[in-house]
Order: sequence, then structure tokens, then C-alpha cells
Amino acid sequence: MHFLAGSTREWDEVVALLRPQFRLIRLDLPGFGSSADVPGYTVAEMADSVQSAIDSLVLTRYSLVGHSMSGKVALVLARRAHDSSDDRLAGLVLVAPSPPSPEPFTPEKRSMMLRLLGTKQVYDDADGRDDRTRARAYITKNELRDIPRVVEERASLEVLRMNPAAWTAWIEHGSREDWAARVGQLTLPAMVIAGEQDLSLGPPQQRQFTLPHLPNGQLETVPNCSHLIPMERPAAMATYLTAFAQRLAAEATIPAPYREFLLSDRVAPKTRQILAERLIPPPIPPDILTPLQLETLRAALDRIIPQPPPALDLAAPIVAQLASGVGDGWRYDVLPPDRTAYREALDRLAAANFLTLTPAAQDATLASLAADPGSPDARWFEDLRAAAVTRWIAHPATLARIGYSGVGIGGATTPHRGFTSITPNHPEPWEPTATTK
Amino acid sequence: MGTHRNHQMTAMKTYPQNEPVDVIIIGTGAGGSPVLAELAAAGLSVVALEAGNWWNPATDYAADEPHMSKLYWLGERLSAGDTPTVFGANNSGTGVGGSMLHWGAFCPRPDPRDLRLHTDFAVGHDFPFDYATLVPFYEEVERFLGVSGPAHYPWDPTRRYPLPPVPLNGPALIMQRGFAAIGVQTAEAPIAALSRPYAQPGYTERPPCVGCGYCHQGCVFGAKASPDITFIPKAIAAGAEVRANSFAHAFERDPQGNITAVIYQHEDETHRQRCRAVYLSAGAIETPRLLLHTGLANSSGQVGRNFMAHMSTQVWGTFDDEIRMNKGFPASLISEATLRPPDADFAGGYLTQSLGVVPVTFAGMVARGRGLWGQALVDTLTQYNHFAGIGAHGDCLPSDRNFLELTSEIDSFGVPIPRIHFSYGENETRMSHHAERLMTQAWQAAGARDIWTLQRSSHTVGTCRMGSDPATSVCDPFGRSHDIPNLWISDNSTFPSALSANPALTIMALALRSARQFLSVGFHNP
Repeated sequence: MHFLAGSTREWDEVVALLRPQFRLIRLDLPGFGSSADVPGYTVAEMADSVQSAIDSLVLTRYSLVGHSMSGKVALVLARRAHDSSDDRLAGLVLVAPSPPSPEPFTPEKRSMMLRLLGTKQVYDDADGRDDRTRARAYITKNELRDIPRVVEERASLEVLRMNPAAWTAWIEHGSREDWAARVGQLTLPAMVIAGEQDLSLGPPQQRQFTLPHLPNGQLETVPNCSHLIPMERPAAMATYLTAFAQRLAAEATIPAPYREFLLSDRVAPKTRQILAERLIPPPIPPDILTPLQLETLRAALDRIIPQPPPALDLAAPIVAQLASGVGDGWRYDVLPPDRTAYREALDRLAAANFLTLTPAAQDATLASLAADPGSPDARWFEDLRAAAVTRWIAHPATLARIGYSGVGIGGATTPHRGFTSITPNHPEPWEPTATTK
Repeated sequence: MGTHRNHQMTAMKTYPQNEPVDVIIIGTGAGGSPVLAELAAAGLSVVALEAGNWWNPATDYAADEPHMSKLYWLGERLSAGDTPTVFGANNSGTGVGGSMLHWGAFCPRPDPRDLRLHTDFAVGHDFPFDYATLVPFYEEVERFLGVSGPAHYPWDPTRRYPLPPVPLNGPALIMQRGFAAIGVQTAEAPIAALSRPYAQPGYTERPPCVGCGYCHQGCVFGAKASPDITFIPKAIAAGAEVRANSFAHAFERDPQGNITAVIYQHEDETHRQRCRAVYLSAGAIETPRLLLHTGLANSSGQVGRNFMAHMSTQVWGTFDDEIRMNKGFPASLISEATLRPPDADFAGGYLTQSLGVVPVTFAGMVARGRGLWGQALVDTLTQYNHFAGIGAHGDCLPSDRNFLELTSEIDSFGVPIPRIHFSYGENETRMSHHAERLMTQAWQAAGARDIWTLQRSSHTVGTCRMGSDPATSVCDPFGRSHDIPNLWISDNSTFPSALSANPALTIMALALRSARQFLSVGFHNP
């Protein structure tokens, strides 16, 4: 969804970058772009219009992306989805959104905007500018925004397509509607993206007016960028959307009750953030292990922690740690430094054709490593078991599986802290339960 | 994060580097922070150098074990010997507050007999003073930190704790049941976490423990006593300066051999702070490492010798009950009934405690110590909510086999990394077997199934022992170096024997005692 006066064509460049990966549905709000003739300009009516478009499609799971004006509409839709227990809406991406509270326009800015594009003027205005010039001034903010010429020309034409009544309605009414109390707090995953140089709806305003509604929202600041982020920085925009989709997909691997527990105010924001980051395996740095060593490592990890699909990637964080050079504060004297120890041990396993062995033969090979306690092989295999199990059990999917409640102890800013019932068999009502016996 | 400055107190005094301060203290843990507070309160100009960060628990801590490994000393150490001891999370910390940022706050005093092991058993090494010498300092530390404990301590009728005990959690209730069944006495453990709101001169009110179970990952709520919220604020209010992210690695000395400046790295720059005296409080690994690296204070040849670690064997079992051992204070029950067991075939003794640990710690123990992997490992860990443990801490005799030495591997500061040799002797092995038998019986009596034993050692003790004879000890009974009159040591390296109790309380008591001695004689040559 788009900004005031624009249309969904503002997303053309971003869509081109994302289309191979995602299904993207573009909606013009009533009065704008291809919906210029559609009536209904209040926030509620715009939300109705979007909802009916969504309902006409067969969507099982989707996110809303709203830019500026439509960000406010997206927040209202998220509130409605929550209140009607509609769990198809998975997340919100708000790009320099209008806040749910009245937008802090000065009266001067309001009247200036009404003069600028409130009526179609065939003739030049008092400043001698025609509609096209004024649309261009609006898009480029009098040439302050860094938008390619061809994109600006397309956007200016879209501005001229809008129904001036929709423009006037938003400035006089829609932007003044106060939805703050009705939107309240929304716990669904959210990303708020703001341009560093956006003076009206930039990072400080989003922190003050929007993020308080989104306890699971993350704020991303786009450097050297103003308000029309999709047209100014389409590549960055695509990267943010991809990362958000990756976050949602990863969170979907956690059973819904535990996911809701993690999103609840039992869990401190910092703990939640750490667990969310752990959902996405780190990139595997090159030059730490050869492809054969890496494949051997993965095969050994599959025997140490057998996992039904979808398996957690235990190798990536182990290799990332080897690359970081930060260990755990000690190593067995019989072993060389970690990176060397892994390379040498994996080479020996590979030389024993570990990858081509049957699972039972792989197990026998690993068991033989442990046969001589205290030997370098046994010590390395012990280190590998510890590394594997650490990555496995610290993953939110495993914490969900064992029904672990400890991440719910809260923190300095949460309403609840610690436990009130610590005797066996008397869990507190909020504590998750194990999903496997 | 990563700051040099205090996050809360903007009013910290600072001292110029080119003017000598009275005392530099290297390390801000159990050994350094009480000295810092004492000397500052007496009006001395004191600067503490801390290798790690100055964390803000409210914003820097999380309920996540891998993340909180930032509180551990992660510089590499080599573990050698037949029973290599583990560092990092096991016993070594970094940050303003030292390893007490992640200590368990299990806070018993040693048994009076532990200080005279050689007198009683003709093995080991006596402390150069008796238990009664330390009692006033134990009481002072317990009062200042706010130790919670039972109204009547079964093994010391004279003892009074300033606060009532913290509630017993699942593993503690099971241990209570199991020990009662086999006729062994237990009590609520002395814990340096608050059972009531508490304040002391030097720090503002701290809230009571909420039983979150993350003591070993740093207490976000301020209920657990760590130096950053007790001794350090007291010291700063009295005029001390603390410099975080400052790793000391060299000394300058005058022709008489006295230390005149400490050289340290801070944010890739080398700094030099002039001083009149130095306290070395970097712990039983870093203290001897620095002395061996600089070649100081070792005319006795004792620096790095007699490394000790507690026999800390644990017994674990699975219960039908849903225990959720992460809840409540992790080790809330104690027994001192085995400090001198009548059927012992060893010198000294051990205490026992109930155990609950958080999942990554537990998983590492199962994968390393129990040796499980494959489906058996997964099936075991999946029952996390049904486990409870019990553990011992037992005395360890000093041995020529057990020592710290420098290797040829160099760290990022250019200082050689240490290798620590540790092998159980006959005494530790016998004591471990005794503890294993007793704890297994208790767990059987409590209804555990699938009972197994984890062999481990914990705590770092020894390596710069104190004594009256300069030929056989590194420092005098107050921690003053025999060789360098203006160098003092205050940490667990000075212990001549390991004691059976967790060391932090004794480190703090010795620190207060040393600081008082420093104030009376520190600027006079012996």
C-alpha cells in the first residue's frame, strides 16, 4: 500500500527485486491510483476496502506493508484481525507510517498542502506552477529527495490520477483521526522502517508515536533517505522486506503456543530479540572449512542430534564461532586450537569415508573416537557433542519442545518477574508445557 | 556496552595517570572490590583496573545462556592433567564485579577444621591463622552483602544470618526428602541473594530474589550480591575510580624493586598509571599468570604451584514429578553433615547442595559428562523438566603435580596463555566415591530413576599461597608479597588449602582483613 497522493506503482522497483521470491499483492486505496473513483476516505472505510480485497483472494498467511498514510490503515487492520482471532495476518511492515494518533501537522502545513493539490487546476497557480510541476515538487520535496528522474515522472503522473477529494479528506480528516487507544498494543511481529532524513515521520517520531503500539516491532533506519523510501532506496527496501519475511518464516517453525509465549510480556525484550536472531542461522564464512569438511561436520552432527525435518542448522553457528576466534575460555591441552582441531578431526573422518557409511557404521565410527578416554579423538568428540547440544537446546524450537519456562522470567522493564510458584507439579498458568513426552 | 565509564554513576572521581595514586587494584571481583571500598573509605586515592566491561544488568543481561557467556573469562586456557578442570563458565569471570557477576551466591563458611588440615590429618597445608580470626570478617561480609540463611544453623549454633532463607525449590525439596530418608541432616543454604529488600551504607536498596534461576548468567534484578552493586558503589562514593576494559600486563619498578606504575591496555592503547602500591586481585589463574609473565614475586618458586579445585561430583536423576529445576534459587538446600564423615577413608570432607541448572548448562553436562549422543541424548534432554541434581564440594589437597605454567601460545595482549595441570590424587578420588555413594543413596530414596554421576571439579584455588616463611610461600598471611613490599595479593590464589566451602565468602573476608592491615602498615617497609 502507498503514501498519500501516490499509488502502488511507487513499489515498482521493489517489486521487481522481490517478485521471484514472494507473492506480492498491490492495493490502491480509495481515491488513489487505479482506485481514484472508489469512494470512502475515512480510515475505517479504507481499511474496509483493503479487507474486502484481501478476503476476495484465498490467502492463508500474509503480511501487510503500508507506507505513510497506509501505515495507519495497516495498524487498524491488524487490530481488527487480532480482535476477530484472524490469524492469517502474520506481520506488519510499516514504512514511515502515519501514526495511529493524529498526525502532528501544523495548521500552516495543512493549508499549504490543501492549496498544493486540493483541486485540479488546469491553469497555473499563484506561483505560476501547473499541476505537473506541483506534483513534481510534492514528490521530490522541491528536489530534496534523491529519486531517479524516470521514477519521479511516473510518480508525478500517479499523483495527478488521484481524486483531489481523497487528498483533501486525508489532510482534513483522516490524518486527524485518533486511533491510538483503539489500536492499543499489537503483539504481532512488526518492522518499522524510517528514513534518517525524514523530518516529519522519521526515526524519532516513529519511536515516540508508532513503536509503543508494537512491542514486537523493530525499528530500521535507512541512512541518507527521506520519506519516499521505496522510490529513494528500493534495494534497501527489498533487503528489509526479505529479512522480515525470513524472520516470519523462522518464527513459524515455533509451535504457535510457544511463539505467543515468546511474544508475551513475560519475556524481556532483549531475551526475545536474542531468541529471534537465533532463528536465522548465521552465514557460513568461507575459508574456515572446506566443502568436504563442512559436509562431514553436518553428517556427524546428524548422528549426534538426530532431527526430524525441518532440521535446525547446527553447523552454521558452530562454523561461525570457529570463524569468530572467540572460544569458551578453555580447551583440552591435548588438542590444538579449535579451528585446527576441527579441520584435522573432520579430515580424518572424511578419509574414513564417513559420508558414504550407513548411519549404523557412522555411529560405530563416532563411538570409536570415544574409545580411548582422554585421547585427542575422544576430547574432540566431546567438544563436538557439547557444541552441537548447545546450539540445539538454545534454539527456540527446542525450548518449545521441552516446555522451557525460564525465558519467561522477565527483565528490568517487564510487568512480571521471576516465579511465584516453584514447587514441583505446580506450574504457573502461563508456563509452557513440553510438546513431546 | 564496551564502555570504560560507569553507566549509572556519573560522579566518579578520576585520577591523572602521571601522578601516583596510592594504590592500584588489578581486578574487581571478590578479592579486589572489598579492598577498593576499604582503602577508598580510608581516604586513599585508589584506581581499579578491570579487564572486562562495565555492564548494566537492566539493559545488558538476558535470560539466555549463550548470550551471557560475555560474563565469562573467554581468554584461552589449556586444561591438562588426568582430571583436567574446566574454565570459562565454570569458574572465571570478567567485567566490573569479576566472576561474582555469575557466581552461584551459595555462601557457606568453611568448617573451622578445614583451616588446620595438616594439624589434624598430617596432609595438606594449614592456614596461617585459625577460623576464629576470620569470624568477624565473615560476619561483616555476610551483613554487608545481605546473606539469607536459616535462623538456626545446625552445624554452628552461634551463627546468625541477617536475612531469613530463600524459599526451597524443586531440587531442594527432593534433596530434603532424600537426605531425611537416609538420616542425613540438611538446612536451608546460606545464600548471598536477598529474601527481603535490603540496603547497607554504601549502596541503595536492593529488591528480594524472584527465583528466576539465572544466577549463573548474571542477576538482572539486583537481588544477588555482586560487587558491581555492593562494594563498587561504596568504593566510588568514597572516591575510588574504576577503569573497565583495562587489562594490566606489565609493571615498572624503582631501583629498590618497588612497583611504581602499572602498564595496561585500554581500547588498543597502552596506558601507564603511576602508583605507590599495587593489589593483585585477578584470581588464581590471572594473578600467577601475570607474576610469571613479569617474573616478579617468585623467589620462593611457589607462584603457580599448588593449584587446587574442589571435588565437585554431582548425581542426577529423573523424577516422575514435573520439577522445572530452573525455577527458584538454584542451590537452596545444604548439608554439612559430611564434613568429617565417620567412615571416611580420606582427609577433610565435603558439603552437599541441591542443584537446578538451566538448559544449555544441563545439556553440556549430559553431552560431555554422561557421554550421551544420538537419540539417547535427545530423549534425555527432552525430559529437562523432570530432572533434579545434587552436588558436592570437597576439599582438595595441594600437590606438586598440580600447577600453572605459561605456554608458548600468545594472546592478543602479547601475554602467554596458561596451562593448568590438575589431576585428582588418592584423597580426592576417595572423597568423590564417598560423595557419589551418599548422593546416589539419597536420590534412590527420593524416588529418582536413571541415576547417573557427573565427575567434575570447580573453583580455582591456590597458586600464590600465603604463609610466614618466604621460602615456601609467595605472600605473608595478610597477602603482602615477601619479595616486593608494595605488592599485595587479595584473591583465591593465596589459599594454602582449598577448604570445602565455596571460596568467594572467604576471599572477601580475607580481602577486608588484608585491607585493614594495609592501612596500618602498607606504607611502611617491613
